[in-house]
Amino acid sequence: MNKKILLFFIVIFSFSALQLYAESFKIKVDLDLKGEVEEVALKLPKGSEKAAERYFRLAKVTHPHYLDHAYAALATKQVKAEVDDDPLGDLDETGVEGDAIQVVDKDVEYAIRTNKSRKSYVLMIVNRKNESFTGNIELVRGKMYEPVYRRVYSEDGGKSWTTAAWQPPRASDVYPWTVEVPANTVQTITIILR
Amino acid sequence: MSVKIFFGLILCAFSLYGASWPQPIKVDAQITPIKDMRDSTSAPDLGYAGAMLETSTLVAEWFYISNRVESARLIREAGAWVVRPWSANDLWQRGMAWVKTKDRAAMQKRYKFLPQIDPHAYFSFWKENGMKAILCLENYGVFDDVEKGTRVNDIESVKKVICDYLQWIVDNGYKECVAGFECGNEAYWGNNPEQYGERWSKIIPEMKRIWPDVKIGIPIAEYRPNDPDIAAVRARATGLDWVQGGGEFSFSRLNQWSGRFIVALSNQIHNVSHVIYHFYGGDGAYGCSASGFQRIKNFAKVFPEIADKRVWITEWRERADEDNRCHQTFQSSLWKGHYLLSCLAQPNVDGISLHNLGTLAGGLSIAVNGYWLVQWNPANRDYVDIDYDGKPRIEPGPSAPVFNIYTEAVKKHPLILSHGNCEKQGKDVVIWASALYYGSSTSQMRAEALNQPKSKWPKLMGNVEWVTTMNADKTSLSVLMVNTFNKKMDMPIELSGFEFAGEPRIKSVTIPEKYLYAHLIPGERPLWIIREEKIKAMSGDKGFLPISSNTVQSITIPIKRK
Repeated sequence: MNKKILLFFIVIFSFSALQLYAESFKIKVDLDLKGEVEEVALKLPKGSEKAAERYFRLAKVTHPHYLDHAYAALATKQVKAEVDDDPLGDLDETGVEGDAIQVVDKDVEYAIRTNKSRKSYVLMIVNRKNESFTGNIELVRGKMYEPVYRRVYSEDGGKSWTTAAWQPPRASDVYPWTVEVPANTVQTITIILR
Repeated sequence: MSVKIFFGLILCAFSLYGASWPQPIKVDAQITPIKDMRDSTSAPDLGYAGAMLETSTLVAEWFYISNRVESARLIREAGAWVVRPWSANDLWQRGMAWVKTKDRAAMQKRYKFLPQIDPHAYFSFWKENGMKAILCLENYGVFDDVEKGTRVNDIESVKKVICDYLQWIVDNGYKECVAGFECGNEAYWGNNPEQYGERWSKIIPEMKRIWPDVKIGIPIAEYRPNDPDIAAVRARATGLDWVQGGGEFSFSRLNQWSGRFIVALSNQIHNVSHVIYHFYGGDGAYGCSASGFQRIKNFAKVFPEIADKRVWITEWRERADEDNRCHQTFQSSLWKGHYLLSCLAQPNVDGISLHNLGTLAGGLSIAVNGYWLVQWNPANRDYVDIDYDGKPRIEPGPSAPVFNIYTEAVKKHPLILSHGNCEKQGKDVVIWASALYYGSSTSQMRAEALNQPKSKWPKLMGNVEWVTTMNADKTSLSVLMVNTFNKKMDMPIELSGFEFAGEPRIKSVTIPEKYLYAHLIPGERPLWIIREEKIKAMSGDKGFLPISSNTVQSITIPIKRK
């Protein structure tokens, strides 16, 4: 095969693979939390406010207890440990390799609300980036019914916004349990526990 | 034979096979139609069980009294020209008392979960909007005193109330909006078909005396082992001791009930115009498929006294009560697109009523007190109405556009000419397109639920099914179509004796593939897409009709004689 053609296919394949790959982040859901954290207003992309607030209003009504807020921990990086001294004198000049730490991305954030019975919760997720992700839910107890997505989204980089609401058929006892967090979206994802 | 010739012949065979797919839509406008829907009192026949008279007084009054203009729009959008209220005589008795009572609060308290509404409100609405109702009567008992809530069941009292009801309809000029009467809802769950038949034998002659050409239908059970409706009724009913525990159970006894009932009613069978079936289950073995039509034929063979009767299917759905939310998927809408066409093509079937018009049944979604109603909701999984403002809200569900498109077409094109699909079918071969689609698409849905990659999903057995219809003066053809392939199709069409004479007008409903198996949430922007467009004028007697993937549509084309 001609090298140029081969190169072309490699480029196309790599591009497709990148397109298919969506980075994921963990969403820990502990419905037994007392919910003593201060409520953080999620920063909404310009233009999405009206539709997003309609969904957030619903979330507040049906799930009045605010549990948690976090930014997406999207990547890890190795940090160099800070060494103040070297009492044994056995370290080399490069120092000690430190822990891997997670880097949060402040353009992807979420809050969790629950209801009185704590048998249902709502994830309120904002993705202000032009990049799609998946959220891996780590539920401390229970199994989940299919999520109800209520999404405000933009397909033109934030110029115009529209809504879609649906419930996919995917059963929740299939691991890993993921939710879609596409680029330029504000979502409430309501999940009832079995 | 040389190897070359052998392979050449195989290639030719494949080419010929390929060239014949998809099979053309053939229309011979000069043949006798499969049926003329102008003969049906329930035309346009494709309708719903229920009539917005089941939920509450609040909803009934909203629909029939305070928002009649809005309700008329909803009826059009949901194609709900045929409705079927349950326990119509009880509803009428309560309504008449509701009009006269001096203490509505007490009545409302007594019948908290049953609507009270002046019967003129709904009959006049049906009449104004050209709707037809199949009224389901019950003969177990009637109100002796509605306000006190007392009932009697002696046959003379029951007969009097039912006859008073018919006389009231006649006297008030509402005959035109009554398709007919159903003699009992699923009476075959009862224990005494002889007694049941005897009671109707005393009532039916009086009904005919008041209204000589009235259409009267009787319920017939034709179940199969593991029928989903049996399990569903068993789960919610009490007192069905003979149903419990398997054993001697079940479908055979239900079916025997039908036979005994026919015998018990034999002296009045000449006054019966329709036999009535309820079909649940979209898989091939169950009633909502070609199996159901076969069961109708089989029963008529065993009981030839009903062989000349026409058929109403006054309840049907692809699932029974074990999945009341199945209607919320557009996959269900597409399946209905298939099943409705196969019913239209049955020469002996008149009105068919999807269970049901209200709740999340796909006809009209109803929100009351801040929640969208589910028919039965054991899992407490109903949806919140985000925009609740203290009033009921009603909107079309995902099946509504399918009924809208088909009924709009057949109202103007009542001659049903031919039926087929894109596959090769011999003459009189039963059409299984709906069952094949249902089985394979629900398998795909399960695969998605298990998070299997799409490459491993079972094969979808889609089809393009069609029914051709024509107006009475033979100047317009309307082709009703459903495409359940995930690709656009161009269906060849061939006319005999006629030719195309103008621009086809397409009305369609479709959905992006990613939402095909998702439950669609009421109160939100519909994810299905309705289009109305004209395409390039057609001439001659051959052409192609385009249809997008996962789409239900009608294409209406002017025609003229050659």
